[in-house]
Amino acid sequence: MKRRFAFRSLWILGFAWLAWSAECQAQPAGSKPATSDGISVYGVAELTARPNVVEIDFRVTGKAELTADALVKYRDAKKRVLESLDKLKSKNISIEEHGLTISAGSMDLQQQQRILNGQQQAPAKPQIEVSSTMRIKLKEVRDIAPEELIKTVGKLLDVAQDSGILIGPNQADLLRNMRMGLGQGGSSAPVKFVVADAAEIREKVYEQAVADARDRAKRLAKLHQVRLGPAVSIQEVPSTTSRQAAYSPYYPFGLPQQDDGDDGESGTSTMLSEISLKVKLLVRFAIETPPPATAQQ
Amino acid sequence: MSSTSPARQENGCHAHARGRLRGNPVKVPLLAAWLSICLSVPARAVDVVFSTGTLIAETSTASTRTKPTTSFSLPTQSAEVKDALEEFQRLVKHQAWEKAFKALDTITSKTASGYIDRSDGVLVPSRMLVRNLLGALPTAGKNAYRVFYDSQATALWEKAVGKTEVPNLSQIVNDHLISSVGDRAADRLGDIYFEQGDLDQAITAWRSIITYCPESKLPKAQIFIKLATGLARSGRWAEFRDIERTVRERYAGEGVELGGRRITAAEEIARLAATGQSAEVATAPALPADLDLPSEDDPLWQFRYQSKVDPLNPQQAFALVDIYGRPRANNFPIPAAADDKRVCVNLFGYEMAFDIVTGKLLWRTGKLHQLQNLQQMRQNQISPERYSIALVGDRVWSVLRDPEQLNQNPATFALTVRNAATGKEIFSSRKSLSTWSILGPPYPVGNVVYLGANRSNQNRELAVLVLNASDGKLLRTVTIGTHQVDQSQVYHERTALPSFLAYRDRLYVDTHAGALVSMQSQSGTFDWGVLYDSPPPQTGYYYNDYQPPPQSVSAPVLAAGLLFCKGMRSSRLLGVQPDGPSLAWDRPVSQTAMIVGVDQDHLYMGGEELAAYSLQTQELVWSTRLPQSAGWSVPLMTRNRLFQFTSRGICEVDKATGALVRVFRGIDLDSFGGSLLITPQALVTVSNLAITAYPSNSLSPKQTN
Repeated sequence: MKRRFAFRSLWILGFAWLAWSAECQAQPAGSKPATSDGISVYGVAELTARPNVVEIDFRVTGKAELTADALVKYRDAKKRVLESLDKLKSKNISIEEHGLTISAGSMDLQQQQRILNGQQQAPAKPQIEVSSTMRIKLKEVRDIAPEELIKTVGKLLDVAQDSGILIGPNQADLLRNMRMGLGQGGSSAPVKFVVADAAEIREKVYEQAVADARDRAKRLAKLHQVRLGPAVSIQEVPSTTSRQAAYSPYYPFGLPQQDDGDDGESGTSTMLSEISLKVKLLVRFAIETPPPATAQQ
Repeated sequence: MSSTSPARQENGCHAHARGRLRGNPVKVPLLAAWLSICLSVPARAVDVVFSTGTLIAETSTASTRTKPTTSFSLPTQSAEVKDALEEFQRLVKHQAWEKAFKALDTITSKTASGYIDRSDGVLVPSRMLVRNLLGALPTAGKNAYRVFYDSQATALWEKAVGKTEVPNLSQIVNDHLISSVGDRAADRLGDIYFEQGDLDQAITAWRSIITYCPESKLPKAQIFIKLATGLARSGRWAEFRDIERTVRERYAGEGVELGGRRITAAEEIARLAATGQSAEVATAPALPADLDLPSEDDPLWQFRYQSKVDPLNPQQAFALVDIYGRPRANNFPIPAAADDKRVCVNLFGYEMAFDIVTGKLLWRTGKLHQLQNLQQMRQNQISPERYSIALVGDRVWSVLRDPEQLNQNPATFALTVRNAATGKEIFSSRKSLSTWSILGPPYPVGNVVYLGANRSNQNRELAVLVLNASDGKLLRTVTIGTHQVDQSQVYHERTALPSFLAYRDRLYVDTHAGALVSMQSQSGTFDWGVLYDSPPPQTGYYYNDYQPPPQSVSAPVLAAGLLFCKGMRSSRLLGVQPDGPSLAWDRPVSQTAMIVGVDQDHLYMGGEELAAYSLQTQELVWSTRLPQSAGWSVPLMTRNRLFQFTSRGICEVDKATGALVRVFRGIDLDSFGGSLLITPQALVTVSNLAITAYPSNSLSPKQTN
């Protein structure tokens, strides 16, 4: 009986050791770099660039009880915007249309009541809505003075508003977004400043980050009197932190999100300023074993 | 177009009705079904005669139309009349003609007031019902009718000379149209009305022969040509084209006698059509000429309602609050009117007049700061839309309530008439009609003025008061019907105020609550009523996020022989053919839309967007969304342009394409927009913040395209 118990304990200990060693291997290098072999360092680089493209998103819609009417309204709304933009005769403007949708039906009264604190709403007939997003791209703006650029963007917004296009979310959407904890529409801001050549710049940033990592590793190797080997592991560390949803009794659908306006990953910003492109790498270099000593040594 | 003759078509319809009556003796159709058969058959027959396209429109509107949901009730006939109808239906089925006609006599004797519901939302008075019932009788029934009533009709016919001619002929047409002299009486009556210049009545008389007397021995081509002449002379070209098509297809070679000479129907219809083309061009200048908007933003003058703008609330000139003390958005109408000398405004009962050139205050009935003090108080029932002002000749007509009694409920509004030059009161309904509360703006026509009103203690009632325009004395009161919702209990939405249209001897009243009514303006006798979808307003206090829908109000308009109306809360655009009546249009449109005007080819609507609908096809031709504007902003239509004062300035839109031609910014850019007044001296904008006049030197008429 005692022998059987001892045998079982050995099995348990064995499994426990295996599980521990597997866990050590599975853990990401970023969380426990000290346990890795070799030299692990961060290589960081950042370059800033002025945006060279301005993107303005307009939502063009046609809504009516009859689908034929909705289509005419959509057709004309789109036509008016395009004609107005054509009148500007700007060579640097291009227009893309995407996201054409045809949706039917309106929110039923019960849904409206739930959203609006049980408040009864006036009944409305179902409508057909035809909509799409028109993206206006104003190119080659890097060398334009900010005041001049803002003036040009303002002119485009004026043209759109005079054509009856609503810029950004409407009042009802804004209220609903706030209630649902979706923020004030910062992420869907109609005007975005974009570094369109972000890929080329990012290449340079990577090169700099790699060089930075090697420099750091070399420094450590020198101080520890070891020889730096080749990189054995490379991991890119996200430069932005993910937004955590938190619970609040006042916002049952989530806290309103704040938008800092700058998205270094995609090279876009809602603010007219230099956009920074950051790269952070975690690199593990091997430590080369010194060759065995010879007679000459 | 079918090749079947009109007579055969009409007989076919009647035979169909008869077949249903005889072929199904066990199942007694309901009264509504019977009425639907009786009253829609002649209308269908007319449409078959006129055009296949119209028939399609007719069947897609009237016959398939379900009874609308309205918030207004028109007076209906008593149960006795309904019983008599059922009795008539039963007796016709058994061919007991004598008793059936006695039942009809019961209906005829109760024709004083009240409508009969045609079960498709169209209500007709009993006399019209009787004519339709007789027209729908089978041949045996018509023969029996002649046996019983020909003597009466013939006696009237023989005595129809001199002064008694028109009354006698009218009585034959109204009561004995299917008698052996009915068709001749209608033809003669049409001739008399035509000679008198009353083209609509002439058209109605001639059309009744085609509709109700298919077996008439009168030459069809002659009647059609008379009808076509009447339609051409009155500019009803859409209806004319239907008649033209029928004549060309069926009666082209038949001779007609006109002015002592005999020509073919084809020649005459071609001649009338040729005059139609030039007439269409000639009627275009009825609209005001196009204008060049000012080139500079500098105004002649501006009057702001607030002497000092509150920086925290720059867009709220009037500190109105709701029942919970929260600020109420200033998105309500500011009643204003202008002529070539002055601009008048009615601000919650304080009337003011400004010189149109200098902006100098000419007179006022109170000081604005008094109003600001009053508005600090609790005013949940202020109903800004009930105030109005109109400048007619040398008089200012205002509907208002005493500003010192703003907190007294229910509100009692009165009509006050002042001398436009001095502001001196000429008369007020507050004294002479103290038991009435005025609903909506006054509608002066010649020597009389029409007013919507309810008795102070009956807030659901809607009546039309007819006043003498010179002294304000009450001439006549006509009760239109009853609102389902007490209008003094509507706190968040606009109250329903009637709109009027007077055309020749008819007055059309849109209640904006679900009913359009036609009445004879002299006698106040009802012709018909049409119900349309109009949901009842939300009542009660709402603390949370109730968003009242924006509602725009427009009066009915006449175009292409149709009466168009769009109720304030309705999402349907109706086009009613007044003779009949029959619904030619019953089309969904935006609930916030309003009628702006009509021209030869299009009907224009405003609201959240400007839109043009084809009068021929009912299709939406173009739609233009303008910058956001006040809900009460009424677009202005000229010969080739539409103008609207929006939150981003005055927009000029091409009527043909809907393209935005120009935006004149002006200086009132903090406002929501509002109304636009054009006078020879100045272009005046009235917003929720200010009255602004721009110089007229640049308002020269533009060359038309």
